[in-house]
Amino acid sequence: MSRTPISLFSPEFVFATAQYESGDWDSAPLVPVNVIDSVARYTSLPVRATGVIVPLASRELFRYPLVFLTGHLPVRFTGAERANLAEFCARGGLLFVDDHNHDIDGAFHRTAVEEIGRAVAPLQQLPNSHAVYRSFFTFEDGPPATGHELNGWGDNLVHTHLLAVQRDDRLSVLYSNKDYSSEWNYHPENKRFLSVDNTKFAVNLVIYALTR
Amino acid sequence: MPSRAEPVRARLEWAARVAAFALLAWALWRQFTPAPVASRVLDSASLARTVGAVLSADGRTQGPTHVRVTGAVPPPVRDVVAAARRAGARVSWSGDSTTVWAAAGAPEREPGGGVRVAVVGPAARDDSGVLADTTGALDTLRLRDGGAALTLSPARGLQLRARGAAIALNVAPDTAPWRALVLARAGWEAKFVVAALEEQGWTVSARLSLAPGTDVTQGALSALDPAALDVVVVLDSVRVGPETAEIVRFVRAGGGVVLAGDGATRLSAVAPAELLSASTRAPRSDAVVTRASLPLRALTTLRADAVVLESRGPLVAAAARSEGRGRVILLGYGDTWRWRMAGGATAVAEHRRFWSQALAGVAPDRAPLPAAPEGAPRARLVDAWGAMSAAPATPTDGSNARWLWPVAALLLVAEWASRRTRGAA
Repeated sequence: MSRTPISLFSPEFVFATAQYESGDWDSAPLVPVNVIDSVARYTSLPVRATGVIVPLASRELFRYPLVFLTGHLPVRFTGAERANLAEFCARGGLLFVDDHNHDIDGAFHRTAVEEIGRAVAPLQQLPNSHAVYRSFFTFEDGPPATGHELNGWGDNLVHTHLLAVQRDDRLSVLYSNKDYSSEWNYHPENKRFLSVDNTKFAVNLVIYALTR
Repeated sequence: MPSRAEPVRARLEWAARVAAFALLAWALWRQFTPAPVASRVLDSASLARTVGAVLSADGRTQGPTHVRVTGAVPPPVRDVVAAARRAGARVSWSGDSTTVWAAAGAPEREPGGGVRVAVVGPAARDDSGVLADTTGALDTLRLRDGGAALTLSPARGLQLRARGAAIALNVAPDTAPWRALVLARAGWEAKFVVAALEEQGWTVSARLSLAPGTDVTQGALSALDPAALDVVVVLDSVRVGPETAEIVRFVRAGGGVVLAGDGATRLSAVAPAELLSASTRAPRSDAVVTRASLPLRALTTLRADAVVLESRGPLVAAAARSEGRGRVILLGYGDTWRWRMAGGATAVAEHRRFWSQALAGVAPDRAPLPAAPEGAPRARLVDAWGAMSAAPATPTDGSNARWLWPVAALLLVAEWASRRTRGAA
């Protein structure tokens, strides 16, 4: 028997960003480190200090039950990506998709929604009473607004709901066009300049994924 | 001068005369002495029609009766004969009562579980029966080497039909909720164990630790009481510090406990073993994960009363033991969520079954249903009619002694002829 001093259970949470063939999957490179910082800041969960990039079409995807996907450009999944994503969600994985364009009818939004519908199931509006808004911090009004929404950029709307695909009362896909990719895309050191930490909802998302 | 043969001849004549008269006397005695009443022999298949030969319509018992049992005896007929025996009728029996000597069923201890039926019969004979419920036949149960068992999901009125006998099994699947509490650190293993159990039908509450003093809870957390909770699952020791004594009390009072990971360290008072500190290597990241490739911390220092449930080569992977009125199982597997996420096509279902069966193995028995009254037909027959006896020999009567007369006549004629021809030579 070859023995290695590993824990019986994976000791660390690893933040994974999905890499896909089309579009600009790496448009928010500072989001992972910022989310990791927040999870470590507010919980005692062991978190790997750096995130990983996982190709959507690879078997590696199944090592990371929470995967973040973002971009500005139109999304067209390959057949392998689509099949992998469908299986990933069926097995209990959660894909968090954020539209980096912060608009309602941009190219990313239209294509990503269509692709998710083809691969998993059509997105539905998620009630603001959902458990993801209470899994750690409480967001009484649903998803927190982003600075881009409040400043009137993009479609000049504050999106009051997220969209989701649910399976057996669990989120399989959570879709945002609030542009959290821009909101969280800064170095964690700069959190000290914020009066309110705007990454708290990311902590909720991670805790929801780990517990539900 | 008389020859030397004369005395011998005279003695033979005398013997023939005595024998002839003795035979005649015995024949006359048999003729005028009433013969013993022979047993009537009845067949069990037609006993419902012929039971009047045992107990008459006015309640008087009849003569001795022997019943050749060739199948099941209907309970009402069996009871009539038993009543006749108690009233003084002489009834004996022989033969096989039924193919099935006893059958019993019990609901499985997990949600959606069916009913497990166990049957015992004569060891020397292979036979089969049909399990049926009110909707019709469900499955065939083949009796081999004296026993058989089968799990199925009946509706109502489960019964076993064998050789014309219908044995009612007073059992149905348990539809009451099965409740589990998962105590763990928040993480993928806890998430997917909860998910697997919920998908399998368990009512799961969970208390998952995020930080000291900060837990995520799910569902209605009830007290650790076997009346309100069936099984506690402890995935690691982080959460169970303050509750160790409660969990020990819970299992001793009849609850079930599933330990995995280092959940056993704080519960060594009830755990069936300890875990080795090192584990087998985790599967490669691109490999299809199977249960056999999961990292394993082998069980060691097994208690004397621990029962090994599963091994991987020389390594013990799971063991269980009883503690008080409850049961504890310890699993050496880690990261079973990888099996679900990165396993083969059936891995999700296998992962669900694995965890559900682990819990079912320690879940307490629910209040038993009253035993089926006809669950053991042979035992009931022996109880009612007494032990089986040998079949009676073919009865005889006076007509069988007809050979006596010609033999006696032949002896007399021989004796007379001998006397008449004496000295003629």
